[in-house]
Parts: sequence; structure tokens; C-alpha cells
Amino acid sequence: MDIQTEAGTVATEITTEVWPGWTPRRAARIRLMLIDDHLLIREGIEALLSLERDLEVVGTASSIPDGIELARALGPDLVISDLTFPGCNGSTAVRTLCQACPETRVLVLSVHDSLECIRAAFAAGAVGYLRKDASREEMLYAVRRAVAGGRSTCLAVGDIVVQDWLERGGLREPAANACLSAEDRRALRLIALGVPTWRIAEEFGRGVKTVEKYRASLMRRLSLKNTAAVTRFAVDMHLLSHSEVDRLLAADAVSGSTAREA
Amino acid sequence: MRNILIVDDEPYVCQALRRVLETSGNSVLTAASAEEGLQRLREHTADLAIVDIVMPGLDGVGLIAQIRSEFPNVRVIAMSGGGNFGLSEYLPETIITHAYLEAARKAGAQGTLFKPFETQQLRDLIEQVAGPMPAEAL
Repeated sequence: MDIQTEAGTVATEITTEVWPGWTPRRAARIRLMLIDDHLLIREGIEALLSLERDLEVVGTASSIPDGIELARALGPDLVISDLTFPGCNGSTAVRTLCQACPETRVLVLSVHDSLECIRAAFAAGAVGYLRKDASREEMLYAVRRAVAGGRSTCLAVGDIVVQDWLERGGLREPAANACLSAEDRRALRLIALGVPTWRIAEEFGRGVKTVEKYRASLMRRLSLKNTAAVTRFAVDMHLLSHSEVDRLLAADAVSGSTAREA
Repeated sequence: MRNILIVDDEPYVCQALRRVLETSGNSVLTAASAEEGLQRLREHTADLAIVDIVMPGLDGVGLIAQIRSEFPNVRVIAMSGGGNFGLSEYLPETIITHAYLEAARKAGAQGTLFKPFETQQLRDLIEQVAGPMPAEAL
């Protein structure tokens, strides 16, 4: 790392590895904007964030229209916004803000924690959701993570989302899954990922012909006509991780889905 | 003896603090709002004001700024447990409570306290902010 001084450029070995949390004085700080209709909240959050060396509050606004105008003028890295304002309910504020300033990341800071509010905020384009009783550390983590491109929630909101996922959504197991053996699932995973039959045979320690027959029988049993159908089935059955699905989608985007249909 | 003003919209907080501080040999005035607190300061001499943040009307941060400008010799301690969101319990470890107290510090408070606090914490902070008890009261 080089540091500019009056005497010129001086190379230095000082890094964050040596001094955890150390930020070079001239390092670019994260530029934040706050939108909340409560003055006390704006003052308080600004004072709190200003204690962090890598963060800088560049503007505050008390309404979404004022916030949009300010965000367009200042181009902050992140806007921390309340969800509800007088005359502006729920996700409308976030959606309006995200549509008006598509380059701006929005982190919601709200007292509301209903699933509808959380879902609507993310669907509207928010990258994070914090309840106002989250801890200071959770907020700082969410701010830095949002700017780094990630999504996050405070622990309480994470609990609410996971609880709902367990009760109503993600764990629901399609009936077809129940009749699949562990070997069937493993084979389906590999087929879905486009692994050639000879490689699957190696994985299973069996002959290619045997695996070809097994594969055909498995696909017939599940009424899956081609590899693309197996992939869709595997995604539905949660046999693939998100990153694997993303990789497949990326591969499809490059080669065209027709190649894998074949 | 120190003259201390307590400003909190919760009457039981005022009463409890009054009891604790009077037992320690202080003279205590109470006010239920920022506006009433300013009125008390205009009418009486005070060495120290202990100010809640979330209050109807002018909030504690506004009150502290006003005290700093109108009564620069009065030392100020801000106290908060969060609140203001329909929650009855104190939320000392939340973003909002930290934020309120940081805003209070920025407005000029010399000390801050998270509610709920122990009596000894209050006594220690008063000593730190206002100095030791004047000799005549000892």
C-alpha cells in the first residue's frame, strides 16, 4: 500500500491484517443517506453512524419525495429508509425510492416486522431489512454488507423469515420425493448438473450400461423426458444448491437452453 | 449539596430518582416535559440536569441543545431506554437507544445512561460529570 505525503509517495506495510479495523485516513468512506420522518431518529442514527471511521452520512430527509431528490443529487452508496411515512404505506415508499433511484441500494429500518412488510420490501428492491430494535452491531454489519452487494436482515427478522419458511414454504416436500431413494436423489443431482453417464457410472462404481438403464428407468418412473426436465425436477425437489442452480442458469445463458434440451 | 433537575415524562422514574438523589444529599427538582424543565431552570438554580430523551413535545435532544445554549453552566446527563414504538419494556441494546444517546452526546450531554440502570451507576456518572459532592454537604 502507498501513502501520499508532502514528501512524496511512501510505501508502507501497514494493512488491516496488521491493524484490524484500521482504515487509512484517505480511504473512501461509505456514503450514506437517511430517510425517516422522525427527527430524533435521523439525528440519532446520523450521530451513531458518524462514529464509524468508514461511514459518512451525506444527507438526511424526512420524506420519500425529498429523499429521492437528495439521493439523485448526492448519489449515496446506500440509503437507510423507514418503511412507512405519513400518507405512504408499507412497501410503496421503498418501491418508489428504488424505481426513482435504481442505482441506489436501500436498507429498510422499520418498527414493522410482519412477513408482508419484509417480503414486500425485498420484492420492491430493498437489499436489507432491520427492525428498529436490532442491535447497533447488526446495523453496522447490514450497512457494510449491503454496500458490498449482499442482502441481510437483523437476527429478529431472520428468525421470522426462517420460521415462516419452515412452517409454510421451503421445507414442504413434494410427494414424489418420498418415493426416491438416496441413490435416486444422488443420480438425479448428477444428471441435472449435466454430468455424463460414464462419469456417473464411475461415481456409483458400476458399469456404463447398467447406469444407462438405471437412468432411463428413473426418468421413465418420474415422467421426465429429457435432461432439462430432470434439472427442473431436481430444482423443485431441492436437490441442487442455489449456487449450482445459478451456475446452470449462467451456462444456459451462454450456450442457450436448447443445447441442454438436446 | 448539588441542585439537580430531573426531566422525564414517566412520573415513577422522576419519583425513584428523586428518592435516590435526595438520600445522597442532593436537592432535587422534577419536570414532566422539556418545556417544564426549561421553566424550572429559569426559576431555580441547577448544577446538573438528568434528561430523558423520548418525551412528548420537545424531545430530550432538543432540550439538551436548549440547556447548552441558555444555561451553559448546567451539566447534563441523558438517559434513554429506547421506546417510542409502543413497546413497554426498555430496549437498552438497540440501535435506536444507542442512536438517541449519541444524538444527546452530540447535542452537548456530558454523560449518558442506558435505562434501566443501577443506582450506583447513576451516582458514579454524576460524580464524573458534575464532580465530587461539595464539601458543605458531606
